[in-house]
Amino acid sequence: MKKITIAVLTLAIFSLAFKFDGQKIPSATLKKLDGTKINSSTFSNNGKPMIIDFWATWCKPCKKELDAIAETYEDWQKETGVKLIAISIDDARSSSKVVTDVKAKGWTYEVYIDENQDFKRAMNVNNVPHTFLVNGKGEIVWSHNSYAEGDEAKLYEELKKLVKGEKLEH
Amino acid sequence: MKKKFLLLCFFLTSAFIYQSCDYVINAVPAGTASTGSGSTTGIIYRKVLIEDYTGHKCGNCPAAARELHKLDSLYSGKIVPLAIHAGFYANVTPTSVPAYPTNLKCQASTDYDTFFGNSTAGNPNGLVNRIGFGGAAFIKQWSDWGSSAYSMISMPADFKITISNTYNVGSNQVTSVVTTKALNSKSGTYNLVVLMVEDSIVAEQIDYSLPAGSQYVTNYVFNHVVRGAVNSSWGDQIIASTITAKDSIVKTYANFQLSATWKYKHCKIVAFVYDALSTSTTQYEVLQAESKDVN
Amino acid sequence: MKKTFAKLILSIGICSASSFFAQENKNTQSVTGNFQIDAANYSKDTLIGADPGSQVVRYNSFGNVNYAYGNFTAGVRFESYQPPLLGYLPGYTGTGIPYKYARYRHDNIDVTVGSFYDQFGSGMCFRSYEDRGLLYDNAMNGMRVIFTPKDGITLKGIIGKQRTYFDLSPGVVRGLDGEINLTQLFNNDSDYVKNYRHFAYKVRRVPKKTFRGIKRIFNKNSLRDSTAYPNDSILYRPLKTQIIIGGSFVSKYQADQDPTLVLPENVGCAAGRLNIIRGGFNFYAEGSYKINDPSYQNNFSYKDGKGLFASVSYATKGGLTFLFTGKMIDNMSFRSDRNATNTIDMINYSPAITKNHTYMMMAYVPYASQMNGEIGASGEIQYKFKKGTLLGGKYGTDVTFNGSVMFAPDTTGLPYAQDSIRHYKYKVNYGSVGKEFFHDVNIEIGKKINKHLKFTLMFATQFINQAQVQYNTLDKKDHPDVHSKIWVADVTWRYKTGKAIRFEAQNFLTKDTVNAYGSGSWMTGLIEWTPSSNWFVVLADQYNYGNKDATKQVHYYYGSLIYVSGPTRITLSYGRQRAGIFCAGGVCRFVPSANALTISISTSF
Repeated sequence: MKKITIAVLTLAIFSLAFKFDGQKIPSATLKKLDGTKINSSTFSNNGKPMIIDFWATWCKPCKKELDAIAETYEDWQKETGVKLIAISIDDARSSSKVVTDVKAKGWTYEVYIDENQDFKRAMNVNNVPHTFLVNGKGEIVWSHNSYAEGDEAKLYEELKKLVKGEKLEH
Repeated sequence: MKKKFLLLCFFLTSAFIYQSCDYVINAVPAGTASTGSGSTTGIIYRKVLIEDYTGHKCGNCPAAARELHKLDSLYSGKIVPLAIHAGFYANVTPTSVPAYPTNLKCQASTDYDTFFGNSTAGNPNGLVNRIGFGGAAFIKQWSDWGSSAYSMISMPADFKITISNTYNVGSNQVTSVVTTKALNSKSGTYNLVVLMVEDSIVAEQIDYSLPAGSQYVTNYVFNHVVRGAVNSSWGDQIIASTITAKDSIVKTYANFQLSATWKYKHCKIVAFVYDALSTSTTQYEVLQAESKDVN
Repeated sequence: MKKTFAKLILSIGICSASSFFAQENKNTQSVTGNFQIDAANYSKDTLIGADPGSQVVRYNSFGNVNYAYGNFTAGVRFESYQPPLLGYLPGYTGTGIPYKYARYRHDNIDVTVGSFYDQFGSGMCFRSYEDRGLLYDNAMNGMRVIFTPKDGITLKGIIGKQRTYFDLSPGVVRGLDGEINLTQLFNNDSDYVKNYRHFAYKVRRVPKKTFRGIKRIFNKNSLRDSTAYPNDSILYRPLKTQIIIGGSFVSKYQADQDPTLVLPENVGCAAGRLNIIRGGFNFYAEGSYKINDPSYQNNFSYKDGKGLFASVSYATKGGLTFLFTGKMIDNMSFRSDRNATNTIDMINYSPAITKNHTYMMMAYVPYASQMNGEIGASGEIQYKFKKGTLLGGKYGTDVTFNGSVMFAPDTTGLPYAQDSIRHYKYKVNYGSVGKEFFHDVNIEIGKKINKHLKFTLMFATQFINQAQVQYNTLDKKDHPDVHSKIWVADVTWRYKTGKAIRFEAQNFLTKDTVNAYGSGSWMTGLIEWTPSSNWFVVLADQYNYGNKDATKQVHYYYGSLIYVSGPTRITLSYGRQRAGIFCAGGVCRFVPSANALTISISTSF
């Protein structure tokens, strides 16, 4: 039990001590839906913010989140110029399902497959869904793990703050 | 230049592919199988203790028992086989369908299984001289026993164990005198474990290698079944820190009572010496083993 | 453990300190990482047969620390399981840093020294992979070089030993892989003619007629410079055919010391793949061949191994999608230790093509790829009824229809697993199939009624040949076939912005004995309450009401409290965990029942 207490304390210290301060998007090779490859460090949105969302075809909350955002995505784009990049962590078992799921859902996001999970590791994602906000300079400024009903509204609040240049909170 | 480079790459790749495939025509070794070089006169070699962790409800376990039998005949007199019945698959369930009423478990078997974690890792599996404790290769599949034993049977031994048994038919008791002689000077802590082992027990076993419908065997023959510890599961300390070459330690275990259900003619005493120093990197490794019939 | 943590903290400290001093440098430095710990306190529960033994406190924990400086990255993962939670492989008991790497990337070269994960194609000959949740980790430890001489060409070379618990495998794995995107290679530059000539030069011996055909394929596609649209995903791009071909060769070496058999020390596996993508159409096929590879898993058969995997998908613009996959494998277990079992030392991977269910009762009798041999097919059709249509309603309706069936290969010759014929070579009749392993036909409907209410309904009918799939025996007396029908209703009621209640009702209906530990039908109920976006409360109960043994008609209650803030997630739960079959990496194994108080924390920075 003592060991666990130490581990828990260490975790707490780390989560307090480290904050995102201008960390750039790390570099990893991803697969586009058309079979070609793209490096994550080239992600850009012409100075506008981006949302990077990790998901998987077998992950129910992930799809709920992306569905919920899809409903208002057009408004978000108009208001903030945001672009959502959905990163699927499906392995070979389900990666062929990514295209069909995206099309069936009618999502208009940029979708890339992280089949080898290099990008997931580089972004330190433990579990999906995991959502990141990236500012116009390509720096990661906010992140959130898991999805609860209504989280998309909160994400939008943070996004608006980011556009206005206000301080973000979890 | 570029062309030559590509040609070289192609050549190297082909060579790699060619080198990387061993096609085996005859799976069985030609002539008699190699049984190691342990034949030079005057040298005493290690006898290898192979423990088969098993259970009568484990359908894949008879395959391991057959392998142990095969190795026993191949390395005749060079290995000491043990069958450890422990864990879930060895539970006695006289009323289940099919029924397994015969108890082949004992305290020593359960002690080893609990400590080494064999049955939680999934039966069948085993230990060969208990080498590699704490490492990934400690618990071994039966298919690995032969390879592991092969590398040890040609190793000169540090100890020589001599067992002499006196059986009293009237009291159904055995007195064992176990002499451990150091062949080289050694430092460290060494324990001696003495076990009672029974062969040719006929009981129930499930065997998945048989055709469907006839997998429940009522007259399966169990060999090398550990029945109990004559001293204790983890043995007696015989060497505390050092021993000089040629010195002997004699231990006498008087009047060990055999259970009435055991057939004394099928019983044998197995003794082995292991490294018991807790700071040793080879802790629990068995350095020498020996077996001797009760009568 | 304390000491190792201290070391970790120290190293992070140094790294972050050095990052302050290096502010001037145009290459930014960063230290990032994540941590997770799952700890449980088990108690004895005779009613469900849970007995944790003497070690009642168990935990799984790991922490990653990654350092990046320009093109250079390095990282370590600290792991500790003393011992691992019940249900995980006990061999993982230990503490250490099994994962450490340094990687340098520049222009067209990418070199990794240390631990790495990678895969060739779909993984039929090589895939090193991790799933921390399942404690599946067969990381390679050695070296990897990725060379990209030109856009569209990727060459990989790997060598090393696989992770085996906290050790390394006895065998060495080495491999080569090449992938060429033909479309990109011949159509990438705006100077199409140059490429065409280059291509023409290389295959000048091919008759002109064939040539025109090839020319047409690539010519049809636009000549525009794709670098002008670097971030366009296919969704925005006009139709374009991509043809990607690839090939790989992987070999393992393990010394042969077996006295009773002549074992091949070098075993090779080769695979080739083809992928054609055009708009919503995607075709992928991969075939593999492995030479004689006697192992514990294939019962020391000296037969060669073969595998074929193909998938076709098509998505229309109207929201209708099709996905069909077919698969055949025979004797394709390929491990860096021929004596390995479970998920240890697997070099390759064969994805199960059956649906990966998320609802508990849907996955009650899971299927895993049978590496010794299986033949099967699956299909999925999805359609979204549009908003405003009769079936679509105000928000649209999602319908998914999925089906899959798997069989044993039709083998003639001798029965499996007989020691006397340990090294036999059986034959496979590819024209037909053997006994059925599994089937699953299911339909899922997702619908949002209004702003407050949405639901998912699902129905499935499943069959599993437990004896052969999970227990490797032909005897069905102990492990009979299971026919089941399952339904699930999942309703979410969002009563206020950011506040919701979700209900799940699931029913697993069967008359058959499922596994050795439980039988008959099950009912599951779950309530998940989200009072705010930071909190979740979950209450669940699984009830084995159909067990023929009345004393085993047990409730498996379970409660959980979850707190989420940014990347941090803390879960506290208490309850019974039902015994079950746990499948990871194509291998299923039995997990005992348990009664535990569990805490898990995960965060990233």
